Amino acid sequence: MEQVSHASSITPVQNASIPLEQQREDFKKNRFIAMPLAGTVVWALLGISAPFVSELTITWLLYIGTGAIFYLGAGLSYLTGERFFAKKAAKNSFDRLFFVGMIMSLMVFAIALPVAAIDHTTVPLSIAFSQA
Amino acid sequence: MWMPLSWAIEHWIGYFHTLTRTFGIVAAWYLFPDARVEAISAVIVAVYIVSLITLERRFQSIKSN
Repeated sequence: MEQVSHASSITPVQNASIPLEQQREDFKKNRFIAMPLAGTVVWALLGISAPFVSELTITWLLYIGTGAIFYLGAGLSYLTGERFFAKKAAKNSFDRLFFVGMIMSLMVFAIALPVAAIDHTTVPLSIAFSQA
Repeated sequence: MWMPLSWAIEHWIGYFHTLTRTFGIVAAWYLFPDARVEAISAVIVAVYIVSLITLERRFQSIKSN
């Protein structure tokens, strides 16, 4: 909580000169394909490997594979020109909103893990839903 | 994350992605109890392909303007 309020107290200073509407126009110019590309590759690999591995293995692969999507997407962003970690002239509030949304989606694990302990076949459904 | 993205960029693709993906994976989970990972992956990959093509077309039309 303290960190959140600390972070939000920094942002307005950094882009105080840029109105939110202008930030949105800048944000709209993004390509937005690095992350979906990473998701497509990972889920395709999971679907293809599922018939050939044990239930336990595919469950681990689901956790590891989907956890790797962000990092794969970050890597791909340098091929698509999106460059996730590039130093930009101005921080964009909508990038921040997207990041906060990702953190929120991770919180689905609070219900996904206990339910997975009851029935492990819910794992692909829960993870797939959290990223929707 | 697709819903707020759709709102931010004022484009339908995120709404489409979240809705078809969510209903699709739930349907796949119930319809294919013996192949849940395969069925859910297939739904997701299909939705991703539509989303990728749409986002790339959107980007190209912005660039050419």
